[in-house]
Order: sequence, then structure tokens, then C-alpha cells
Amino acid sequence: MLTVVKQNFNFFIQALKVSIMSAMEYKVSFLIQAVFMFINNGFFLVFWSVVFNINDGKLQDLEFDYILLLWSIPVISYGVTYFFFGGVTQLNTYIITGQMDSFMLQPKNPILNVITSKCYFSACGDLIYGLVIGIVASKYNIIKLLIIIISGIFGSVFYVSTEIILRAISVWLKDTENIANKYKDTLLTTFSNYPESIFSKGIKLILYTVVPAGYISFLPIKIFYSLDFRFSFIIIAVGILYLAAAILVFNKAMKCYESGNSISMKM
Amino acid sequence: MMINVQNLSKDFKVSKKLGLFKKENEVLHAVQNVSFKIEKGEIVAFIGPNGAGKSTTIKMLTGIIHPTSGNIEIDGLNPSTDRKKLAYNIGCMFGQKSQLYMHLSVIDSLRLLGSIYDMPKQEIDLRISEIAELFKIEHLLDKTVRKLSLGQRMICEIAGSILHSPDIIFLDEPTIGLDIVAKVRIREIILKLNQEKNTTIFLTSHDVSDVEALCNRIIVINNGVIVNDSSIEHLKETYLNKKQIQIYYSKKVGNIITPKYSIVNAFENKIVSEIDTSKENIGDALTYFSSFGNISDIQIVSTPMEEIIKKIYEERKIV
Ligand SMILES: Nc1ncnc2c1ncn2[C@@H]1O[C@H](COP(=O)(O)OP(=O)(O)OP(=O)(O)O)[C@@H](O)[C@H]1O
Ligand SMILES: [Mg+2]
Repeated sequence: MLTVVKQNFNFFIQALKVSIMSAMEYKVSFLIQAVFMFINNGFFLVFWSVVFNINDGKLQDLEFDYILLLWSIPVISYGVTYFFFGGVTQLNTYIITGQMDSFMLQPKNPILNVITSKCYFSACGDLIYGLVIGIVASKYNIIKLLIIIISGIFGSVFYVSTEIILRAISVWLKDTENIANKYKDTLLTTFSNYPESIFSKGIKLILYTVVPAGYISFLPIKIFYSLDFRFSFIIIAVGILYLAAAILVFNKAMKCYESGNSISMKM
Repeated sequence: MMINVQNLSKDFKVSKKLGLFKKENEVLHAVQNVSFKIEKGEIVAFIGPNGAGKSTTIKMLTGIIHPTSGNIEIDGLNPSTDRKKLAYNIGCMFGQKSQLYMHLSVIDSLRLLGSIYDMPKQEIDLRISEIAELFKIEHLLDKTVRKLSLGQRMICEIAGSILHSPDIIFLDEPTIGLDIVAKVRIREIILKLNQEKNTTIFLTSHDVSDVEALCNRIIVINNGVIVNDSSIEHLKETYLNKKQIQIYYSKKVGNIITPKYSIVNAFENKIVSEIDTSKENIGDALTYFSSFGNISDIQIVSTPMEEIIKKIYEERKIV
């Protein structure tokens, strides 16, 4: 058991190294993307700070810190996900075009193989951005900063699982148009960037179930303010459930995998 | 026994679009009731026309796709249920699909593959230098895979597929698109693997000279059904009782019309005759033809393998 874990971890590190090295080949284009991401994320912070200024630094009992947290933890999750596990975005393409073949030939879990097969270098920008905002929000309190970083990293579990589930579903729907992209951008990312208190009960229910925004931002922020670590058990438990569901759905999708004959190269 | 396949079948569901909304589902029987056994150390050619079901069969044997019905045992393992375990024992290379990493150098690609097979670092490097020497690709190791020529890449692909010293290698069109020099090199490599490690080799190719140069046994598949499974010798015995005699006379000879032997071709000072060696004696034929003039050169050739395979394909289509 232990050696299996060690072997998988070893492979995981190697694969990461490779996908990052591949991404580095396009340094310039990725740097440009990273810069735009900074501007884009920064724009929202400016927007919020204007709103707060108009309202004398308060909005529905919320401190500006709260907004900083909303823009720090989920952004770290996002960064970790697409920097380290960017291959997850290729899952449906791999399955539909028959590119899973080479992964299926290897004595490793195909999921691990897929998610580590690509690195979005620009996500590194998100990661740094999230960290910087996190440091500001923590007011240099190490415990609080650790809460931000750890929940940020763990949030990637929800991102990756959600991606896997959606991509597998789009295989069934024979959807090459990527509903998954739309879902991720419009729902998950957006919801996790707004304060929990603005949402109605019904929507909140959704944000703690179908769209796991609650575990990527609301609950970690609760821990941040209350230092009540019992919430972390909920996050971990639900995270494991999400991941299990993702693996289940993925295996189902692979049952229908029929390969294909398109000529392909590993990029 | 290395490979034991029994009544293997694979259906694909294909949907045809009829107009905007109407769809019709059809079942395509890509592989039907295929059975064969292969012993350790055999080199088997799996041949057939385009769309015959060769790649589909290999994908089932290697655990990439699941059979619709039938049993497969490779090295004692079932590819569908023991996929990971089996992966350590087999190597597989698809001429049409790359296994290497386009953005990496060859050596980094190979190293990553090594870690996928859980080989320790020193062992990986040792094995890479061993293979590099065997394949004569030392000078390619630092090149980026993307920048290799097709022939260079194919050799490196094979290197990647045998890094973990598998007992069996599946090669699906390993020489596709290669020039004759590269083809010969790939053949040498395949033969070496078989001779040095007694590796079992299962390969498909549309190039009959590959088959002739490498294999002791040929399995022919057409429309998903095995139509012939025999040793090359046996094929030759059944199909090769015909020999072509090409005779060159020192001077132009007149029209030779003979009821005894069939003349395939006659031109200037050359005639080509086909002789059924099970009925006629070559020596008699030569004596007979020498009576028409002074013979300056003779060539006796077997019907080329190419012709035999064409015959098998054709025979089966008529049936
Ligand atoms: N994933 C798939 N979905 C549907 N049909 C498929 C699929 N893969 C193969 N087929 C069909 O199955 C049949 C056998 O295909 P296969 O690729 O095994 O042929 P092949 O013998 O390898 O041919 P070639 O020499 O051209 O490579 C073909 O009719 C092909 O169209
Ligand atoms: Mg094929």
C-alpha cells in the first residue's frame, strides 16, 4: 500500500515537472496571460473598494477584509487547480478523440495521468495574486494566513472534482462545445467571489451542494473569522465525497470509452 | 502460452444522421469471433485490408477498450480486469499515435515513461543508455521529440514502448510512412528484441516486406473475421507451388507458342513462364526452353508474398 502511494506520488511529481516544463515553452504568451489576469482580478477589487467607500467602509455589516478573502481563497484554489491539474480541462477532448489510449496503456490511474498532463502557466498568476491578497487580508497573522493558504489549496479538490464530473457528463452528451467551461466560469468562480450574505436561502442551498462555492469560500471565511476549526471537518468530508463522486463518474465514462482512430500527438 | 484469445468480438454503435433530427443507430461488427493462441517468442504478423479490425483487436488485447464478448488472456492476465498489472508486462506502439511527449527531449520523455513504470532512477538511466546503444539513437536523446523526423520518432517510440522490458510487444503499423532505410532499421530492431530477450511480437503492417522479413506466422483478418492463420512456410507451400522462370536468350527468338507451359510474358529476347511445380519439373522446362535458342541468363523466382496476400484477400471477397 505504502509503496503504491510512494510510486504514484513519485510519478505525480515527475508528471507535474513535465507539464510545467512544457508550459514554459510558451513563456511569453503565458506571461501576457498572467498579466491580464492580474489586471482583470485587480479590476474587481477596485470595484469593491469603490462600493465600500461610497458606503463608509461597510456593506451589510461586511468589512472590506471579507471581500479580500473572497478574492483570495477561491483564487488560490483556481490557481492551484489550473497550474497543477490543468489537464482536467482536456478530459472530454481526450475521451472523445481517443487520446486516452496512451494513458490506458500505462500502469497508472488514468485520472492522475490526465489531470497532470497540462499546466496553465497563467494560473501561476492567479496563485500569486491570491497569496498577495491573502497576506493583506490576514494582517500578517500567521494562523490566519495558514487558514487562507490551506483552504485555498484544499479548494482545488472541489474544482478538480467538479471539472471531472462536468467533463464526463459532456462526453455522454457528446458535447464538444464545453458546457463545462461555461459552468466553471459563470457559476463556480462567480459565486465564490460574492459574499454569502447576499444570497437567498434557496441559492445558498445550491451553493453548498451542486455548486460547491460554499466550501471554496464561505466556510473557509467562517473559519478565518471564528477560528472554529470544526468547519474544516465539514469541508474535508464533503471534499472527499466530491472526489469520490468524480472518480465514480469518471470510471462510468471510461466504461463507454471506445478509443478512436484519429492521428494524435501528445502535446 | 503468451496470448490466448477465444471468440473475441467487438461491436461499435455508430449513429448515422438522417436529416436534421433523425438519427439511426447501427451496429458495426468490427471484430467477430476471433480466436488464436500465440506462444512465447513468436513473431506474428496480423494483417488485413484497411478497416479489417486489426487496431481494434490490439486495443482489446492491451486493455484500452473492452470486448463486447469473448475471452482474452495475456501472460495469464485479463486485460479488462487486470489492466494495470498487465501494463507492466506489455509494450505497445501505435504508428499513428505518439506516446512520447512532444515538448520534451527524447531522454526526458523516456525518463518520465520510466517513472510511470516505477523504475528506480539509476535503472532508468541504465536502461536508456542500453537501448540508445542498441537502437543507435544516442545522438537523438537531447533532441526535442517534436523536432524529430518521422523515422527518428518511430524508433524513439519503440524505445519508449520497451523501456520497461516487456515480455510482449504490440506494434500497430510501426513502419507506416517510413522510407526503406528507416524500415530496415526498424525491422533490425524488432528482430534483435526477439532474438536477445525472446520477446513475443505481435505486429500489423501493410508492408508485405515487413511481414516477410520478420514473421514466422501470419494471421489474416478481413471484415473482422480471421480468414487465415498459418506459418509462412505453410502459406508458401499452399500458394507457392507456382514459380516464374525468366529466360533471356542471347538473340531474339521467334514467337514461342507452347501448349505445355503457360507463357506470362514474351518480349524481344526474354520470355517469362509460370510453372506449377507440383505438376511439372523445372529441369524439364529448362531443357524444353533451351531448344529455342542460346540461353544467356535464367532467373527462377517464387511468387512474391505480395501476390499471395493479394490472393488471400481476393479469394475471401468472392466467397
Ligand atoms: N471507436 C470506434 N467507433 C466506431 N467504429 C470504429 C471505432 N474504431 C474502429 N471502428 C471501425 O471498426 C472497423 C475496424 O477498424 P480498425 O481500426 O480495427 O481497422 P484496422 O484493421 O486497424 O484498419 P487500418 O489498416 O486502416 O488501420 C472499421 O470499420 C472502423 O471504422
Ligand atoms: Mg489500424
